[in-house]
Amino acid sequence: MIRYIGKRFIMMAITLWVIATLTFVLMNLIPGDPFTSEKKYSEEILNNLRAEYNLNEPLPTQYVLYLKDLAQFDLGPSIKQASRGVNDLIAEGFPVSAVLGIEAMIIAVIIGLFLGIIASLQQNKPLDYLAMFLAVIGLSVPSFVIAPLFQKYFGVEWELLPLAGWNGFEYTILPAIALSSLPLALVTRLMRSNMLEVLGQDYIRTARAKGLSPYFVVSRHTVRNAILPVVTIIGPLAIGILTGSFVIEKIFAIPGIGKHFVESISNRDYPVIMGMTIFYSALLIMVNFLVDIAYSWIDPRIKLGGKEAK
Amino acid sequence: MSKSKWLKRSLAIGIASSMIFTAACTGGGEESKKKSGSEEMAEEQVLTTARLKSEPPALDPAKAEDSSSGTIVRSVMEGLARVDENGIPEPGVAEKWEISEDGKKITFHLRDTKWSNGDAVTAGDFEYAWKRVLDPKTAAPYAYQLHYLKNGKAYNEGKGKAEDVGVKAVDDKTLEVELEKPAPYFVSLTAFYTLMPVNKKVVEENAKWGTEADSYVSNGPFVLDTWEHDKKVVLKKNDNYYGKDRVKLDQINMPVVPDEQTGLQQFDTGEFDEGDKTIIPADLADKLIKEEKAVASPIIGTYAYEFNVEKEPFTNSKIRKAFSMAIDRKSIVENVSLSGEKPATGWIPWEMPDVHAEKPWLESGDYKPFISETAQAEDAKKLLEEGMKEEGYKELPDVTLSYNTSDGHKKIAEAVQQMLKKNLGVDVKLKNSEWKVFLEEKGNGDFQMARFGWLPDYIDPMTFMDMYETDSGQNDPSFSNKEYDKLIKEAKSTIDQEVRMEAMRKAEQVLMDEMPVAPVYFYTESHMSKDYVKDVVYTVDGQVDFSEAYITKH
Repeated sequence: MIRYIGKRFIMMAITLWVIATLTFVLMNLIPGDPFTSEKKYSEEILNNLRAEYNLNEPLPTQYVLYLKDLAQFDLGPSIKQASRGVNDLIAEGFPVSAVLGIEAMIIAVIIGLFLGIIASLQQNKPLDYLAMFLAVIGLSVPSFVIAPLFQKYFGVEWELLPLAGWNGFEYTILPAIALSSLPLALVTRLMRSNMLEVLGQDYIRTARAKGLSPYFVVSRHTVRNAILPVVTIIGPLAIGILTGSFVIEKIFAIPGIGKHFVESISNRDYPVIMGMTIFYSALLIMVNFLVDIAYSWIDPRIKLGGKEAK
Repeated sequence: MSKSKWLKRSLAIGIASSMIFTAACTGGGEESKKKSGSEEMAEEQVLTTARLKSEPPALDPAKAEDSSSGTIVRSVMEGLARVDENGIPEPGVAEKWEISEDGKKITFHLRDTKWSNGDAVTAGDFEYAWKRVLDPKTAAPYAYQLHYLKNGKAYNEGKGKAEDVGVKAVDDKTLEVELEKPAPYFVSLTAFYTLMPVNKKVVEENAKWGTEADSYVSNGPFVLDTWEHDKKVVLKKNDNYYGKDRVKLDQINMPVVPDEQTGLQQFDTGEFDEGDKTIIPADLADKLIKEEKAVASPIIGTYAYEFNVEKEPFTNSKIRKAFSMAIDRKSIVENVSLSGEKPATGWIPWEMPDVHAEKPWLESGDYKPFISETAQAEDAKKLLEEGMKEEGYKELPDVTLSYNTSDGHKKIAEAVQQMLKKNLGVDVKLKNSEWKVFLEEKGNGDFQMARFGWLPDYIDPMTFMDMYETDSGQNDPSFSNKEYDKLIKEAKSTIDQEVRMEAMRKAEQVLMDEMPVAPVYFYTESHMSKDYVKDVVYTVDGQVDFSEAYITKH
């Protein structure tokens, strides 16, 4: 196991390096730079500005300088936000996005699993239809439509919850629900179909025939087997929520990290583009690793680093 | 209880309780709103304004270059002069100033003023701040605003020494400024944020003084009390400000409001007292203005299309002019842009003062509209034929109109495309590019006809004129005209306002005859405020001044 983890970490480092290099190259291929603007800077002022961010150096030198800083976990300054570094942007914005994302994931997974299980046990009955109806809405109505509706009713009409901002738990409720709608629908549908498949298996029939209680059959035999594919998609879903929260963060005026990810590209804020990409890649790689670990815990037949186990 | 019964029951309880909850809360929402017409000042002078669409990127005057930072810097700092709503300079930290006869030397006399930390504001602080902006190591983006100083440009370009720059503190209360050439608008420029003073002692002790609220020291009507990045800025009244009796607001809250729709709802529920485009969605502007909920004030600025005079068919001035004449500017303003703009009748926008006539440019005695507000289809067609004959075209070369990604630009470009088809019989292709790609291509001359917008660097017609000089870096159409260059040179060499204004009027005539740029409309800036908010000043350069604002009882 330890050997497996060590190997995985080396692979992760290499993956990150490849991503960083590719991003660096691609980013410099896009037309325009951080200082392209409608009011043009004179050659000399541009020169001063570029010098401050090492942009006058040849690209290979810039690349080496960047990697050097990166090795010390310094992601550099933000060019657009002159007063802050990329590390600051992440340190301030990520915890906010993470709180929102985790809340949304908890809602999506718990309610999604619950709805999926109910739907499968009540197949083709009203509860099943209700759950599937909710899932269709979650899948087809984008969050930027759901969010303003929430604001209108819960915020303006009924004055139940704050419209926007970030000042405590009550401010997280609406955005977390809006953000969870899509993953919730996905989890519901996936869980339902997995459950139905498992429920039709011979061993479930055997278990029932043995006289085990329906509750025991469902909780021990069905759910445990049906949940594995759901765990697989939770990793990418979690990352999707963290990176895809840009729209929700904008609508609810949440000081998260999503907008830096999007705006850095239109601003050509090179260090922020690099920093955000590397940070998210590291996150994605970590989450995938955790999902793999979770597999072997849920299903003991799955062996990590199977080859050595021979 | 069987499994399914249990599920049904718990679900039923859940639905019922959520219905009760909802009903209870609906009742709570009908709380009546207090209103009164009293003009008396409210006890609590706290204004919450929606003017930050995003985090202000830099509040250090040397680094600021965008309007959100500018709004804050202008509230917390004060320069030698202030400008009133018409852009006319009035005393600020400088009580008075003298300008030498040749217009090249200005002596500012400072009044007794203090920094928010109690230090005295000295002429030395200004000298330090300006040289700091010009220092190449500071990499100040707007350093060119100080290139008027003698040797200022050279120092900024690393070719001169700081000692030779034309700004000197004679003593604590006297600042002597030497200019390279006369610049009659230099005094008004001292109100611009790049030229604001900084506290020398504070900056030397901590290079990052301008990045957090607790290290920020200022000398304006307000101080930076709180700066929560990406979240909010709070300003408080500055008790050390010399004009504090004039300042009535105790606190200004500026939360970051990234989404206009959300912002508008927050304004409606009373969370905001005042705001600008940050809470006025573009597609609702027209409706809000008609309902008199929003006001569109004229600002100095022109929306236009530039023609690349080096790319066919726009190498011919008659063809350029024909295209311009085929545009129905009135219809664009009334049916497309819809924010109270004015059809452009020339290049220099409304509200730009003619300093000699002491009137706005478009209202001074000798102003004649250069362009008709409506399309001139017949004349345009005739001109196009003449132009095509001159160039020997049997058929007009393909024309592509470029603009950068935005709904507003797209709608206007589509309207212009239709007008050119209808009034001129020309099919124009549209090309949409991402902002920086668009700028890069336009800057490289890789366009035929492209969207353009220009806002002033300072309040003088010159900021709209010298960009089309032959060797100007801002001259994307590659326009070059000897007569034009001569007139601009003439205007730049004198401080006689009559001569300057006259030369620029003639130059504008040349520009509109040659038509490297087809003006479309003059800009407005829309804002909204509750009726209990008084005396917020909206200046012609699109800025806001809260220094005398107050709130009445409501």
